[in-house]
Amino acid sequence: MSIHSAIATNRFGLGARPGDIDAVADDPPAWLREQLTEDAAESYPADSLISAREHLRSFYDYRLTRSARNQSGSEPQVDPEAAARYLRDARRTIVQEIQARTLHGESTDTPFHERLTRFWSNHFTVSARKFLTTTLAGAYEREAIRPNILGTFEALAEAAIFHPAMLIYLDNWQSVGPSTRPAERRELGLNENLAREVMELHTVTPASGYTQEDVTEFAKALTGWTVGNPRFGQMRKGETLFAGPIHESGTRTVLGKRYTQSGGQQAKAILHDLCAHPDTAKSVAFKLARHMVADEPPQSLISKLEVSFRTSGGDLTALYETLIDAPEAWEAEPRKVKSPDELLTSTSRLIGLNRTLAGDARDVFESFAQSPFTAPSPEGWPDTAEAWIGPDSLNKRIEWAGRIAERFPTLDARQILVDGLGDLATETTRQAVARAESGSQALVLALMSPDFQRR
Amino acid sequence: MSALSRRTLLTLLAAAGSASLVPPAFAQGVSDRRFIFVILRGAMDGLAALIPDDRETEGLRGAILPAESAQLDLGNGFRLHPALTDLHALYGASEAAFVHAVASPYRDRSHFDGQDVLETMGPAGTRDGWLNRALQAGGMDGLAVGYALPLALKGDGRATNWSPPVFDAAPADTLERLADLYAGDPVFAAPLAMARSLPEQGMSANLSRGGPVAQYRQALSAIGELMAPDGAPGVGMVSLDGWDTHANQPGVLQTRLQGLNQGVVALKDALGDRWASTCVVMCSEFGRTAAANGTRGTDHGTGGLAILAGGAVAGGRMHGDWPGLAPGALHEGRDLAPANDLAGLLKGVLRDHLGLDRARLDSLVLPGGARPMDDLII
Repeated sequence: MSIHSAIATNRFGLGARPGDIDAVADDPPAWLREQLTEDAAESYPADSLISAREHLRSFYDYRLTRSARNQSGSEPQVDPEAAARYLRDARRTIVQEIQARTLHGESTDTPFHERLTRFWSNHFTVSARKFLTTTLAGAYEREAIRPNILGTFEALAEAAIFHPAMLIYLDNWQSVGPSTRPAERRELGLNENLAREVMELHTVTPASGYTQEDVTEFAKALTGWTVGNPRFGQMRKGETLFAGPIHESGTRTVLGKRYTQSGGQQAKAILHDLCAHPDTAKSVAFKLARHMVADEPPQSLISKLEVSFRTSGGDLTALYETLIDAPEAWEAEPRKVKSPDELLTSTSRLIGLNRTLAGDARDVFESFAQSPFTAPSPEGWPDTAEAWIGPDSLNKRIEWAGRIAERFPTLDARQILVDGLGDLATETTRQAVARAESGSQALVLALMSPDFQRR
Repeated sequence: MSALSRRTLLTLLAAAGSASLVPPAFAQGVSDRRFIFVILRGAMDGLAALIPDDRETEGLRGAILPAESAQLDLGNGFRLHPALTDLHALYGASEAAFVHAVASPYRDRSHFDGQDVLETMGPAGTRDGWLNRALQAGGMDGLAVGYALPLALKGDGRATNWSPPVFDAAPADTLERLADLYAGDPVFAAPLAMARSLPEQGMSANLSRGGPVAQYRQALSAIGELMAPDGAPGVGMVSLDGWDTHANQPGVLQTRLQGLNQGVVALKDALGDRWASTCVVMCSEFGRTAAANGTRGTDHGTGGLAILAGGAVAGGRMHGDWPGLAPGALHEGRDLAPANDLAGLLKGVLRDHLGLDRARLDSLVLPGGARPMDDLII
């Protein structure tokens, strides 16, 4: 047993299950590399889950029964009874999506792949907090993110940004070229939300020095990319499509470059250049290093990732291999504090999902202020200890650990340290656990130890 | 809940203060003034809470109006919903006021986007809240009751959140041992030390369970208790969910307004003497349609209602303009018009109640041309 296998399972993976640390001990980096396959994406238990397209088709079916006049607001007016029915289905859907993801987190044999999926899902956030995305956020992760995390950054970005869920979440489906006939006739217009967030959050970031004019230009290029409603015919209902009549035609200039393409290809050409921009490489490198190693990651690691991203043309598998090869990622001292999702996932891998949530899922998610698929904004969940550990939130973690200990008094905390942390369990933690006055106190100390709270 | 000490709140806030530009000495509650912002998420039907006594109302929403005999007359052409008895009394005591037909700059009808604008008072994508910017401008501390810090309080100013325990609190001995285990690890040690000084008993119910009456009362009581002591934060915030009344509105709204009514009383009781120097502003992301829909509810609208309460409020009156509900007066032919600018209302309160400088209000806190509303504060 080596410390590297504990690091591979905890820092790169989602937390060791009993036996995992021994099982990967032969060659931890090889174990990580082996997970970078399409099979890993396909192992997700999606059989009973519904596609975004199907959700949108049923949404449009409900809408047909609406009594209120259609309004031009960013959220369509729907018949309240249809809306209530749709909302009931939406709640059921989000519960099923959360269950599937939580269960997969607990049981997956490719936890490094799953961590990367969640990282990118957060980078390209679609939150279920918006009315229509309640049903779409889970499907979006399965359809746009999960199958695309091993290819190029550009392919991933394109899959994410042009997925119906993102077009809806960031309003592009209702953005209309200001000089098109529909805009003049129906008082519709440009919505810059998607263009702005793609530049600010997904690609070049404000460090690139883009201006409001760049955002407006990109937003104009993006007009026309929308979601098929019933007017486009049954076949295309609920799918991403390009609608020429609402596209603002003409040459666009973004970050000093002219784009003369016509139609939907113009936005893709701009996105291509945004993905290839050096500030995108910088931003992705920093974000991945921060996620994997430390809130303030070593510059040497950021540089390695940045170079890898640039020289490989944004090849994500190459990027992960660079990460696996970097000694900075294997430093013995764990520096990342687990987010609530990471804490719950690693705990359930160790002691079982039923023990970890124990019928309290809603209370736990809510009091931890992190429920799957519901990031507060397009920025996604924060990725620093400062954001997750305060007096109130630490208290909530301690109370939760107490709840587990109270319900499952026979769990042996000493064994949990061995199984979950291996050589990452410090002498201080081992002693504190060994000297606890009761088994349940020992379990609280083990789960709340800095060793287990970090990865 | 045991009363929180001044030290407790200051240490609690210190955790949030690392990024603060405000010198701590200046931030430590130099004022006895309290400002509490309450978001009624989901869009409260302002026209049901404060009912215009006119010809149009009966025609537009006769099917969902409470019995007229039960409505509480304000004697100025408006009547309060029957559930708002204590608010009615506060109005009579000049400790509550109303601004009808008020709206943020947001003109679409999505809760999600509307609440973002309500909390940031900035263009889409703004990442800090206006309430946090007010903290920075005034050198004050901010506190939210809830499991997470709301967007309105996010930013560089010193703000934190507090929530009652969901599960049982850990035994003191376990906390003692954890403190030992965290020794030398400030990421966990400092928050634990602060957490240990927080209240342990009472307040054990869940903020999200027990129905709106219990939830609202509990959240408002908690913020009052936390903000009552000398040196407590000057700015507080509470979110009350559940106001999206598309169907069967009369019953749904009855319990929510009851909860709000009891919550205001609980807040007043918890604040004690501090109530006299408090201003509470309660509002939603937008209002609801002027007319009832086909399922005894109302749909997303524009102009809403702001309720002001507290001893510092110039109460017993309505502020701002009333556009009326005549067909030509409605926004897009369907909503109460946004006759009063919420940014102006907030500027008026921040200027006259918390003493924030007009130039800072216009440049930092609530940029844009809104003029502060006058005479909201005594």
